[in-house]
Parts: sequence; structure tokens; C-alpha cells
Amino acid sequence: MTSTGSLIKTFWRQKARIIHGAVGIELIFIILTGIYNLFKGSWSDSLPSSLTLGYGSVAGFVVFVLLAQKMERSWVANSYRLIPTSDTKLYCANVAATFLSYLYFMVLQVILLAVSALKFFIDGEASFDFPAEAWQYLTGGVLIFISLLLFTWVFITLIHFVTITISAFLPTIRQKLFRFILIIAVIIITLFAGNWIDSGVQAFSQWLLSGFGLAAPTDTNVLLGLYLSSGDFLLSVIVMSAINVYLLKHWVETKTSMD
Amino acid sequence: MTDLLAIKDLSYKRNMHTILTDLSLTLPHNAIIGLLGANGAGKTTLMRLIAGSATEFHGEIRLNDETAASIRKSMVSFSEQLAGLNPGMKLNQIADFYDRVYPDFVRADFDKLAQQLELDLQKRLNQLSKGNQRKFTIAITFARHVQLYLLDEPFNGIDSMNRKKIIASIIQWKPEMATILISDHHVTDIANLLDQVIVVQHQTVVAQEKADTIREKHNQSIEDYYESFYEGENEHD
Repeated sequence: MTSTGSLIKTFWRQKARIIHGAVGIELIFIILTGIYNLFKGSWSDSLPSSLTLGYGSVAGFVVFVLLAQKMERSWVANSYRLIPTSDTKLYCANVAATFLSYLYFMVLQVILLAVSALKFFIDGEASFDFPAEAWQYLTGGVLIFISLLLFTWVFITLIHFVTITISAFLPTIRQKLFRFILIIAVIIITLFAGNWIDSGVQAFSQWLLSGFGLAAPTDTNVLLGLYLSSGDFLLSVIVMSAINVYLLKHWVETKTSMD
Repeated sequence: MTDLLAIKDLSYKRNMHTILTDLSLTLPHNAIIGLLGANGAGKTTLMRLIAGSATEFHGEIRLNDETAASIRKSMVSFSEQLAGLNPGMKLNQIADFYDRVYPDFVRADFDKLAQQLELDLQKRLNQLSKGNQRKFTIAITFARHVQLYLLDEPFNGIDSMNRKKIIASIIQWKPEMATILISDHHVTDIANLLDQVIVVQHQTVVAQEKADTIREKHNQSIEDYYESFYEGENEHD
């Protein structure tokens, strides 16, 4: 049987290629835009950091989507589903590798940002001397971001698996019509889910409005709300994962060459 | 010695379409068995169920007395296991992938097989001709040391030279006690390889016979024996 460590490493390699590709393209864009601004005479010391933040946000979204796409494809691919391991281990390894890959991407972004702001550090203009509460808020923000990431990936998998399961009971000839109806159903479900996670997002927004590291927090309940929302998301991740593993084990089959 | 594979009352339905009904069969150790049937008879589905890539079935699939899909997967090497890999991957990258995730994959054997089948491991999967893709599939499949090999139409759409090379590899690389279940449209290509024949028709196994019995008792070639099941039917393949 294949060990969980080997599985995570394998999925990690698959996803690391996406991240390296995305960061490579991001770097090319940053350099090209930097050169353009240099020739245009609009260069400023803060430009590299601004470009890194701007292109990094776009790359972050693209990486998120590509990782989700990669994960969903592996559920229905013989090359992954025939690996001698249980579906539970396969699921956990794939989700864990996806999550770790995104953390890796974020670490790369922090390094890029630090390099782009190197001048400010050398000149002593940059400082991490924030109030203690700000660090707590930062931790809360990171926690909620991480749990929201996991929630979204697991939710996408749930919708994918439910679609496959329901499709198996419908005649082949009506699959296209069914998929169209299902897309509408998914949108409606997503709206309901949106309401469900609304409380978490609201707490997050309040925290953002309070001023990121610039103003001392005024409402300690917001901090508690951040932690509670993260817990809420993580609990949902566990519940949805249990459903996903059940569906993977019993209903989600690999694609055939005719699919 | 007990049978390697025992399938009992296997039924499988998908998209409101019954594909297999009450199918039962047993496979012995150390044999090459032909799985014959017309298009859509359910040969590929049967292999997918044995391998564990199709999941929702009724009945029992017992491989070496194990029914759990995860354990079955460790005892079966299925020629469709490449499906879903990035076609832009180089062949040696795919071999590395198999080396990492299949504890029974022997890289040295793969390299020898690839050399024997004249495969350039620096090429990408999507750069290969259909014949070379089939050869690569055979190399990957037989580099795993397992008890049951499932080859789903390994000669489909390839020329006679490549077909001969693949057949030679199958004979050479079959582990001694392993069993190979091989489905193919060109019965004559594989007839001389076979120890047994299984015919799938009307969603179930209608015959399982030793190749020697067909030749000696029935006084028929395997092709004639297989075609006799389709006499008077239009769906003959």
C-alpha cells in the first residue's frame, strides 16, 4: 500500500509545478512593468512593492482556481484513483497537498514582497513595530483566510461529487440538459451557502474596516468573532469532507475514455 | 490452490442502463485469459470493476480472498491506469510518478522494457504515436509486480509490427504466478497466447473454456468458437 507521505509528496509535486509557473509569470510581469515605468520616467521606490502586491493578488486568484481544477481532475483520473490506498487517505492527502501548496505560494509572495521592499528595510523606513493587538488581528485574519480557502475547495469538491452522483442515475442522453439544470441549482446552493458563511465574512470585514495595523482595535468582540468564524468554517470543512469521502468511496468513478 | 479471482453475482448499472447482470467467474493463478465480447458487451466495465475504478456494484469481487477495493488495487495492474495524467509529461517523469506511488513498481524493469520496446523516455506522452503510447502503457503496466494484469484492448489501432513487439513483451515479462486478463477485438492476434477464453454476452459471462478444450474437444479455433456465440446476431464485432 502507498504511504500517506508518498501520496502527499506526489500531489505536492503536481501542484508545485502550477505555483512555480504562476510565480514565474508574475515575476516576468513585475519586471516588464518595472522596466516600462523606468523608461517612462514614472519609477518610484514603492513601485516594486505595489507591483508585487497587484500582480501577486491576480496570481493568488489564478493559483487558487488552478489548484481547485487540478484537485477535481484527480478524483476522476485512473492515474490517481488506482493508487493502492484507501479513498479516505487519498482524499486527505490531496486536500492537504492543495492547502500546503497554497501556503507555499503565500510564503513565496511574502519573500517577493520583502525583496521588493528591500530598500525600505535598508533605509530603516520599514518597521514591524505594531501594537500587540494588531498581531492578534493579523493572526485572526490569517486563520480566517486559511479556513475560508479550505472551505471553498472542499465545497467545490462537494458540488462536483454531488453532480457526479446524481448524473449516474440519469440517462446518458439527457446529461447535457441535466448539467445545465444542475449549474442553476449549484448557483442557488452557493447563494444559500453564501448566507451561511455571511457571519464569518461580516466579522472579517469589520476587522478590515478597523484598520490593518494602523489603528488599535476598538472592539474586542471582533477578535473573538474572527476566531469563532474560523472555527465555524473548519467545522464545515470537516462535515463536508466526511460527505465527500463517502461519495468518493461509493459513487465517484473515474472517467472512461468515452466520457 | 484457490482461485486468484472469484466474482459472484456481479451486477452493474449506470445512467439507467444495465451493463452487467449476475456475472460470475473465476480466474486461476498463472494463466493468460482472453476476455472476448462485442463492443459494449461490458468487457471494459468488468475490468474497471476488478481494478477498482468503478465503485458502485452489487455482488462480490474477491481477489486472493480480499474484497476491499484498496487492497485489490495493490494486486492489480490495469492498462488504463495512465488515464488522467498530464499528456505534456515526459515518459521518464511518468515513470518517476509510478515509482513514487506504487510500491510494487520496479524502475529497473521499466527501463529494460522501455529499451526493449524502443521508447524514447525524453519524449512527452502527447508526442507519441498511438503505437508507442500502447507500448508505453505495456511497459508501465508490466513494471509493476502484481498478481493480476488487466489489458484492455492493448492492440487497438496499432500496426502488426508493434503488435508483435507487444505480444513478445507480454510473454517475456509476465511474472511466473501472475494471471493476465486481456480483451481484444482481433481474436486471431492473441489466440496463440491464451490458456482460457471468457465470452461476455448479454451482460454476463456466457462461456469460460480452456483453449486446449476448444481446440481438442470442440475441434474449433478460438476465433470460430467466439464467433459461434454471435451466429445470427447483427452485433457481431
